[in-house]
Amino acid sequence: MSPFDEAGLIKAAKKGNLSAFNQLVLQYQGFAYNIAYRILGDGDLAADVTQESFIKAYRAMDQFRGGSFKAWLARIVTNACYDALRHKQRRPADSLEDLSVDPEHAMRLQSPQESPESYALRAELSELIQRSIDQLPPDQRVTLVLADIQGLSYQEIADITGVSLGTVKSRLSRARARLRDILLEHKELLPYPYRLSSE
Amino acid sequence: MFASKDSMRNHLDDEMLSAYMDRALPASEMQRAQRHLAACAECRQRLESLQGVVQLLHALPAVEIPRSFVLRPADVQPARPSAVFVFLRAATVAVAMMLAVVLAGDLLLRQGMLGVPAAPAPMMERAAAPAPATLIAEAPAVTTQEAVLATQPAEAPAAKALVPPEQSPTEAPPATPEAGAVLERMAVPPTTTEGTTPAETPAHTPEMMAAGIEVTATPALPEGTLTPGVEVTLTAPAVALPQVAVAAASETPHPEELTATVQAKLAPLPTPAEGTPGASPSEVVIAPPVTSPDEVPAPPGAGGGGLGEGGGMGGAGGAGVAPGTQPMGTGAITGTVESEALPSPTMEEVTPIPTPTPTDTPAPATPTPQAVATPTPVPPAEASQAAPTPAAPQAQEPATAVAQRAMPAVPATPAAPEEAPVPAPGVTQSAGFFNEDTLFLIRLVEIALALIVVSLAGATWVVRPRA
Repeated sequence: MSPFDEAGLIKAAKKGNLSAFNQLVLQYQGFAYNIAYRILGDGDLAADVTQESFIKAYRAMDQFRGGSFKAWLARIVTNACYDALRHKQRRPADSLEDLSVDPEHAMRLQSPQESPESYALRAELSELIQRSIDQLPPDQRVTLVLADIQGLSYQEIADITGVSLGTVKSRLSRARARLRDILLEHKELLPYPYRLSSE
Repeated sequence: MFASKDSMRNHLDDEMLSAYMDRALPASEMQRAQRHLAACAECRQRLESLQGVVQLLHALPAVEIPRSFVLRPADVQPARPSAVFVFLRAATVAVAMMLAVVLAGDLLLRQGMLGVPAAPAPMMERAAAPAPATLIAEAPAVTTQEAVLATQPAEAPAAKALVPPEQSPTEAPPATPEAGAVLERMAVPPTTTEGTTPAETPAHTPEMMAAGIEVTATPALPEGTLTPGVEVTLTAPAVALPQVAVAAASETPHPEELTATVQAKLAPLPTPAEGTPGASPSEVVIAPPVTSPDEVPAPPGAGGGGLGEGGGMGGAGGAGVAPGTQPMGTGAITGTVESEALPSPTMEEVTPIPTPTPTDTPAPATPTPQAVATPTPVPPAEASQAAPTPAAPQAQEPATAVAQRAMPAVPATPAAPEEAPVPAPGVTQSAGFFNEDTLFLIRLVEIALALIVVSLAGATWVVRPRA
């Protein structure tokens, strides 16, 4: 008997068992929060979106028709992120420039054995990458986060975002190319192993 | 090789490189990309840059969750609909119900109208039956409103003259033998009765006046319309009331006092009801104002009858002298009126009122009539001018004839079908509660309610609680 009986928890959650659903929350809250954080670039907003997504997921458990619960949850989270981005666009005060990455927050999980230089470098790099991601269009951003940060397959991304495989492929390639161009503008900030070739 | 030259010329784009990197290209594309990359340094460099981006992204550390997202029971309480949503939903239901009620009422109104003229023939037969005094009111075209009014049994005691302009049932009440004056008048639809002129002007003959029958003429109504311009002030009693007796009694001590009992009978057995006030709940006594004898050209025997309770046989009151038969008359209403008139007839002239309004509502036991339409004695000449119906001159002759026939005071003489209604010189514009304006208003209300329902439903949908 597996320690994490996802199917049983899903079945119980579909019947309204909140404890069972919270087991699923504990399993996927990091996944959901990281999606939201990378898409939104804001820790607080990502937390709100994540909490809202789990509430939506619980209320919509009866609509879950099987398959990958992770992908189903990711779809809810990305849709919530889309809504948050649209809401943010309607409020210029919350421009993307205000959404600076908190290195302390982003790098909290790093190993304590890491040298301070390495830590600072990675923190700086992480902030740079996140700012670059924030400059991508939402569709490309979501696709890039799901593919290259969360490691989902094209098919999973297509299912989550509701687009075709070709669209996923196109969005991902554009996102990567654009991100490359953005990072090349700050080549000096990139660590040596990650120096991108401009040629 | 030609193939290699071709692949050299066509560099791989970013999408192909990205897919190649993910091994998401078809096998043939993968081989072509590999051949090109092996020979093209530029594409190799672009591929490496893209791979560097992906490596950077992969190297991004997972961020720690700031807090636990475990749900509390309070977080997943069923979303209570907002107050706005509840209000809008309730308002939508309420307005929809109002619309349904209005529509149902409108529909019933029209069905009732159509159902009124369903039995004209029996009425005619009943009119021909021997009766002391018979007032047959033929309603060729009874409007829906009239029908509805007639089907309201509540106003039994009160004689209500609610015949709208559309109404054109007429029949002069023949005087009882005692009265010595018989007024017979029958307005028959052209389709059923010969000698009836369509759109005839209501005759307000002396007999009728004596009988207390108010004839209404609508001044500006064209011929052929649903409102022939002739109306008879009468009441529409309940269908359940088999007989309604209206006694028009004059309170004035003048010798010209006239007491007429107008009995509108719709029951198979035409029981002549004496115009005794309070004799029956259905009796209505109307005491028309007494005019000077010289003003009244009515024959002495003509019984002054208050406008009778309309024989409400599913339709407008039958007691009336509005001969405005219409070409499209769909039915007839027959009412029996027994008028018990004194030798001196009393003429009740009512000034024509452009707007139909409910008129006579006399109390059952009160000999004094409560005519809403102010009975104003009008000289014959003036009254003639007051009847602007085009067909008035044509019907004038029949009026005289009928008046002459009424002079001998023939009792219980059934009105002959060929006896065309006679337009009256002075006519009373009876008020119809449901007139064209009211119908139009109902339409407007229906449309407005429908629009409100749609708007509320849309607003409710907009503010609906979302999961």
